Amino acid sequence: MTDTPDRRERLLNLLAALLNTDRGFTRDDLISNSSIGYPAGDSARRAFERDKASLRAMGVPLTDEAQGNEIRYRVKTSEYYLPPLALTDEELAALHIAVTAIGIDDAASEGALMKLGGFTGEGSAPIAVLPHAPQLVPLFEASRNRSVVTFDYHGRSRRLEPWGLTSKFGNWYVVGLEPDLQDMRVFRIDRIENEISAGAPNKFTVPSDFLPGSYLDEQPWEYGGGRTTAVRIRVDPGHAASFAARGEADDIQSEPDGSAVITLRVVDMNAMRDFVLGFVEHAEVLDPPEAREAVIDWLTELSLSVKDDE
Amino acid sequence: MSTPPAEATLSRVIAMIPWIAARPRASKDDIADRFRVSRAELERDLALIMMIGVPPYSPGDYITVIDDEDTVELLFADHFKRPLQLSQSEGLALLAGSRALLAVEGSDQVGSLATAVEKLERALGAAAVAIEFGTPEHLRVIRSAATTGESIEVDYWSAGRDATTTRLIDPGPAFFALGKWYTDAYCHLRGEDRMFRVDRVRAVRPSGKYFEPDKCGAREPVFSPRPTDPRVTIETLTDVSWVTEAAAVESITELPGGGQRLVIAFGERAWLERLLVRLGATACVVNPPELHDLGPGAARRVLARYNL
Repeated sequence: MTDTPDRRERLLNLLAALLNTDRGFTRDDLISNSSIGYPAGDSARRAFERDKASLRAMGVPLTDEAQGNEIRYRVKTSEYYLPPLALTDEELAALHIAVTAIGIDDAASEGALMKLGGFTGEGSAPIAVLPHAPQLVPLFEASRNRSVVTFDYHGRSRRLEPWGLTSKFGNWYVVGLEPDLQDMRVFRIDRIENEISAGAPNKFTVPSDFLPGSYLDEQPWEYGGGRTTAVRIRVDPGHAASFAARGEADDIQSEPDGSAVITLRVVDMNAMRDFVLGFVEHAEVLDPPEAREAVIDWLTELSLSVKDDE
Repeated sequence: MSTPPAEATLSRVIAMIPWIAARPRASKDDIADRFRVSRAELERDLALIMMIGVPPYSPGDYITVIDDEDTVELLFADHFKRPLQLSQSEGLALLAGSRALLAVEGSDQVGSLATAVEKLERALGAAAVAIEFGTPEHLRVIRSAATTGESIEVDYWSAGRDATTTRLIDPGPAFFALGKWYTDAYCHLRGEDRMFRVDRVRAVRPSGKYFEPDKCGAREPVFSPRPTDPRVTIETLTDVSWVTEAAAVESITELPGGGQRLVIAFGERAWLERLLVRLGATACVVNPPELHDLGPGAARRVLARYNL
């Protein structure tokens, strides 16, 4: 189904009327006003419901307040109006370059540029693509609103003041304070296991010198909170340098044959196993025994697995 | 003729009104460029704007469009004097894109983009967003060769074959995807375009030979497998969407009763083997049949290393 020009006209007039009122309008005020353009009869109510949904889908902050036994609709200009940004055309052109060079959410960045004053300049060829995890937007919103969030991570429920977001090497992380532990924590966003629920706004402050990236020189196996274990891994000649470069090892003991024993500080044993297994038979977890056993169990299970229909 | 959905026109029109209203006698060509419409579409948008009024709908309550052939002026558009707030997704996309570009080595830290980001953050009370791409050892020299058009000799480690080869390449502009820097380069050794991972370049030497550099930027924003690469179908009991970061996943299907089926393009068996070992026992290859035992077989080999 396509939309007739009439509907667009009606939506614009509805929005203008809702922006231009302090008291708000009832549904009957709106659908009975012939200048807005609703059809006569029952279909007007259905059309009004559809229009409300369209305006909200566009991000219009349409409020409905019960007053007495009627509901009054309006759009508060304080919530609708974008605050003045006073961007110059050079700045607008720079933003255009940024969102075309960096792919993250093309539809959203085009919508944003349109609101800021349209597209200026040539844009850029793409130079980077960042992943877009579904939980990014609710976390960004909670961080802007200063709302404490709750989510499940590695099977445990966590509460976090989301101070900021950071992307390193293609993964997104949320950095913040766990109020129950009074400790800074970093969580990988795509590993959050459920919907993010956000509490009331303005529940915390973020220090002005906070830099989310500074909490992130760590490796995947150092995240999540909990006990740190020193895990020793023997790596074959020819692979030790690459392992150490990627692993940011705590300690490296080179052996005469060119192999090395590398020590990692591990919080998340699964992430450590994942990294070490990327080297297949060229790396071997030596100790502690529980780390070695965890890798052996994983491999044993895999070695015995067969396809169901065989 | 089909009409675009009302919301798309509406979003454009309510963004356009404040911009035009603030600039008496704005050029129609400029408006059409900025808001990505043809002149004909712009005329239709202006005709629509002319119909907008507010109660009580006296003549002065309608937006007045003063149409002067190539310029236009809007009066009585006060209720649309500011654009609509950015949505959360829009704010994030703008801020993350800008922060990311500022994080690319060599970008201007005090130029228009930096001041634009500062204004945005101040006005939006935005969350702190920081992006880091990492800078592999040879990224700078490869980017510079792509710009100047100098062919370079590289020692390149192929993970698929676990071997280092030396070859002459003409690098294209470097780009970042799936967490890694890549360059799409012409490889003189293979006589064709190849995708190289910058962090697997072990050494770079100048060659003194030159090629015509690619002026239109990166050819492929994301690593794309060649049609001739083999495909493997894997079924898993658990959610392994993270694999999409590490591999060229062509499709993910949710299976009834939980689990997922993934179709992945791969170049080399050694690469696939490592992926299967990381996925573990909850994943199995369903197609092609000759790869059923690739993961379990690799696991037995690693276990031998543990004297088991």
